[in-house]
Parts: sequence; C-alpha cells; structure tokens
Amino acid sequence: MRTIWILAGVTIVAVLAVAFYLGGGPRRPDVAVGPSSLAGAPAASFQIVRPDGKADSLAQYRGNVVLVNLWATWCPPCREEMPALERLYRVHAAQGFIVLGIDQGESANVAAAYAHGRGVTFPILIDDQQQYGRAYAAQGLPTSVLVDRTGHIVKGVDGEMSFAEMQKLVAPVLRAR
Amino acid sequence: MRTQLTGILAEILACALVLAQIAFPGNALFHAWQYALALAVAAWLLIAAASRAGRSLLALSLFGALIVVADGLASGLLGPDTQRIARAPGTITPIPDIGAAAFFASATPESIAGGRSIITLRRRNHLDVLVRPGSRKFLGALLLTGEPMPVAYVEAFGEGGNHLTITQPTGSAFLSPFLLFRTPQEIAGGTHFVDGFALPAINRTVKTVYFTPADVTRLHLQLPPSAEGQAAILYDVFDVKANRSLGIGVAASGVETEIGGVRLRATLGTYPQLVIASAPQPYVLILGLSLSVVGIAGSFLQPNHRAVRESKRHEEEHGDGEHRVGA
Repeated sequence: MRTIWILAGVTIVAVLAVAFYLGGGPRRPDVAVGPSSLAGAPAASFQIVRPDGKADSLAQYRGNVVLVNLWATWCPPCREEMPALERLYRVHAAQGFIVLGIDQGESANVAAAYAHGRGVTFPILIDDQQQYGRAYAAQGLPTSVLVDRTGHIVKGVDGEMSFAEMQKLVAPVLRAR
Repeated sequence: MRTQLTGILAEILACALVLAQIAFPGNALFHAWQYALALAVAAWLLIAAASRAGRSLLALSLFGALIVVADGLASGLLGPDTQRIARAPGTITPIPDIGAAAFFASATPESIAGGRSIITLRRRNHLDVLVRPGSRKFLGALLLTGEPMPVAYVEAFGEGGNHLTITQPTGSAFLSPFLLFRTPQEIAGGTHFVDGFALPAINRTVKTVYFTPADVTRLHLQLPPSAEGQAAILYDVFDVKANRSLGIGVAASGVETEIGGVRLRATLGTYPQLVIASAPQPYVLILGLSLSVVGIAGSFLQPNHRAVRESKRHEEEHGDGEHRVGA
C-alpha cells in the first residue's frame, strides 16, 4: 500500500509540472492589428475582380513593391488623393512599383467610370464584399498599406497622404533589394 | 460497506460539480461563492470519508476526487472571468491574456447561412487551434468554445442597381457588410437584437432588428409563404441630410426589398463568437479522475481478495488435515 501512495505522489508532481509548463502564464500577442500597426505581418490577399470581370488579387503582384489603396468614389479624401497616387505610380513604375486601387463595396461600372474619368492608369480592383477593408482593419477611407517584394506589410496608413508623404514611405522600400 | 458507499457518493457529487465547468462553459455561477462553497462541502465530505477509509484503495480513490475538487476550485476562484469575443468575419483580434491572435475566418453568404465558419487561434511556437461552431477546445486551464450567434450579410443597391459601400462606424469592423447584432433591445414585449450600418454614398443610415423564426410567428410578421420558418430582418432607413426616416420594412433571408430608394438584401445565418472560459486544468483533472476510478474499481475487488485469502487459508488448514488423514 505504501508503494501505491509513493507512486501516486510522484505521478501528481509529474503531471502538475507538465501542466504548468504547457498551461504557462500569459504571453504577449504575436499579431498586431489596425492599419498603423500591421508592420511585418504577411499581407492578406483575396481573389476579387477587375472592372472587366477578370480575376485578380494582391498575390498576383508578388515581387513588386505594392501600395494597396482602399478607396470609394463617394469618399472625398479618396478622390483628392487619387492624382498623387497616379503620379507616384508613373514615377516609380519602372522600378517594380504598383499602386493597387481596391474599391470598397461599389459596382465595377461606378469605380471604372470614375477612374477612367480621372486618367487613372494603375490597376483598379473591385472588392464588393469589402474583404480587404476588414483584413487590413480599415478604420476609414482612404486606407493605404505598403507591401514589400516578399509580400509583407511595411506600413499601414489611415487617411489621406500627400505626394511627398507617399514618396517618403515608398522610396526606402524600393531601394531595399 | 457503508463507508465505501458514502465515499463513492461524495466522489460522484464532487466530480459532477467540477465536470459541470466543461459541460456548461462560461457560466458565471462557477466564479460565484456559492459554487466554491459547494465544492468546499464536497471536499469536506471526501476528507471525512477518507479518514474512515484508512489506508485502502478507497482512500486512494477519495484522494483522486480531492485532486479534482482542488482543480475545480482553482479554476473557479482563480480563473479569469469569461470573455466573449465577437468580431466581423475576416478580422484578426489579439488576445493578450493568452498570448494569441484570433483569426475570424472570412465568410460568404453561403457559409453564414450554413453556419460553417471557424475561428483559428494562433500562438507563437504552437499549433493552430481551430474552434468550430459548437466545439470545445482546451488551452491550458482555459476552455475555448465557438458559440453560434445571429449574423446578417447585407447588400445595398442604389439607383440603377449599383452596389453601395456599407460602413459600420460603431461596429467591430468599419468596412464590413456583416452585422453582428450585439445590442439587445426591448421591442414589442420581447428582447430582440439590433444593429445598424451606413450607406455614405447616398447619406443613409439603416437600423436593423433580427427576428428569429419564433419571433416571426409570435409577432405575426407578414412574409411570403416561401419564407415560412425562416428568420427575418427589419430595416429602418434614415436620411441623414434630411434628418428623417424614409421607411420601415421587413424581409426574409435572401429576399430583396426597396425602402426609401434603397434596395436591401440580407442573408441571415450564424457566425461563431469566441468564448474563453476558465476550466479545470485537463491534465490534473485526468489524473484525479483516473485515481478515483482506479481506486473505486480496486476497492470493489479488495473484499474479494480478502475472501480468497481467507478461503485459501481455510483450505490449507482443512486440506492439511485431509492430507494427514490420507497419508
């Protein structure tokens, strides 16, 4: 009988030690959220469509530096930001830089008509289920997310940016090889 | 025999009280003093029975039940309060208390109608934990459950049938067409869940109320015969610029309706919310229950061993006599 009690005691101590190790104490989170705190996370990609109905996604542009811009035609700051985005795209396109304008929740004809009317030449995608907006924790429009050549987020920006601010954001990432 | 029965009954009571934490996770009762008192009484009964059991297998079994009670008391008294985390599909939420991030899977109208969406919990250097609707998963001394909650995937169309952006300035995700209905409100003598969204392109806001199939019947809501037995949604469309309501309408899941110049369609279904409740540490629980079961089984066999030993001794004494006689 004494042996049973000793065995029971040893087993209890062993199980408690394993439980303590596996259960552990509080640990810090390893994933951040919000457009301003997404740095370092892999950029989420969803298959959506271009205005002509062809499938497209952020993942298609892997190997380029991509500035994802979440926008809508009804959003005044988005409209004001559009010329600066177009200029940035034209300046850096030869260096493997893409601006990806992802319209949030609108019909393809509405987004395409607006982009065409403003002389936008960078790719426009239609996200009618607003998947990118949720994945990048957008808190308003516009929201911009800079993705490096390996598909990781460099920075997320909430709100409108000027051309100079965009340059400051994009230039170091384009230089890094 | 009486000591044995009393002890076993005390064990069953104690184990049932603790296992209730797993059967009904997240119940506030488990953090209340009444529950702690019930476990303390169970522990007292176990100790009293153990003192009478002496050094036997029944005592080992009672000791196992005491471990179970201690495990239950620790999770009830020291464990964190229950967290209920409801997020829009496709969003990520850090949970600092457990050093994890919860990935709420993207959803489609079909997946919410079928209630199949899952939540993935990711921790550094650990395997992903998949929490499906209705499932239970242990994470140390925590129990994770996916509690299905009503949700609606809303689509709005303006003039010419153009798709409109849906925003939720006060929702869990700004750019989300998924309504989570987290706010209860008293309407028509019952508690219903309400939510709302904005259509900034046309300066409209829409308040919505979720009606379960039972609510539809109770409130005698007029729905087409094809929608019988389905949940329904009430829309109240408001013109922000004019500061007036443009109309109220009710529609079944998947049915389009036009109110105030806006065509609205909602697919109703369920999407899980993550419930994180403290629970007994499973390894300790398994140890305690194992000792308890082994002890009970052994204690039932023990009298037979004694009887066999006495019978053998009797046979030996008796047998020796016969042998001598035979010799």
